[in-house]
Amino acid sequence: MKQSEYTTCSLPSSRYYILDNVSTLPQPVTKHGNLISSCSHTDGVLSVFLNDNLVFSDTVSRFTSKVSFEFERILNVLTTAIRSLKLTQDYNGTYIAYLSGQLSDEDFLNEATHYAYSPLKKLDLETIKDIKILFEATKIEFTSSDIAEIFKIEHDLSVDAIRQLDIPSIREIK
Amino acid sequence: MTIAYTLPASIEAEKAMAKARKVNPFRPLFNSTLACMTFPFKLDRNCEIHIKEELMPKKAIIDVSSLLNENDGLKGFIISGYSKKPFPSPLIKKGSSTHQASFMEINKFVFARLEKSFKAIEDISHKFSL
Repeated sequence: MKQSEYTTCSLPSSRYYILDNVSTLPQPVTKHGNLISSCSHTDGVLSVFLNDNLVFSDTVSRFTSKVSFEFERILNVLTTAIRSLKLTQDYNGTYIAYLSGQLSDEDFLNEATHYAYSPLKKLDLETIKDIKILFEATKIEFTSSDIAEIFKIEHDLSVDAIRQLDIPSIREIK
Repeated sequence: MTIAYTLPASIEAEKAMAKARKVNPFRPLFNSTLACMTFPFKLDRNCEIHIKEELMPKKAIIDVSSLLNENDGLKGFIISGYSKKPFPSPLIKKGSSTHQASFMEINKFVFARLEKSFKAIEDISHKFSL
């Protein structure tokens, strides 16, 4: 199989190889160093071997749906972050207008109310996973207050979430 | 007078003086404990905050371990917190022998916590497991 016949995608948790046009593959076995993937023509089962040990086996359809689910999740996390940062950017514009005397105290308070939110007081496992995805996808060293704002959670919860994660890029801010 | 350099540490005051080289305001929050809108901020790069006016009555509202006495303060790499009133325009003047810094007087209720201590202090803390 030629290199161009499959797509490689890097995901936070591991590395997957998405095989395209499985039925037309002349050789359903491909090798990447010690990583060997095989794809059966009959049942559409994708198997990945590392040093001759089976590390992954699943049907192609289930595998691709898992990958698309993970992509969707990453997309959702990034969308959440971008929306939050856009709101903060807009609020900062309002704040600068207030500091430079273009907005009165009353006008600023009215404007600020539009940007205000009530932070969540509970931290669920899914949010912790989302925080991990954000760190791994962006490689940005967000501080706990940045995380608290992006995910709209209490600051203490964001500190707890960061403590529970074990990513090199955020060890320093614990 | 107590100045805290290591985590966890926080202050609560009626009025506080802050110094930082980088100031980030965050979006306002509806604070359920204070039952009002608060204005969060993040002070960055060699920053400090100290109490100019104590709470009346002098009793911690957010964190029982908060420093409450006049001139108590925090010094560190990142300090974050919030106040009931947005802080006014900072006064920019000499903050150290090499850099200018923003100086702000934060009015109304102020809560601030040390988010990241100075790297040297962090290293010493890790080394001696403080």
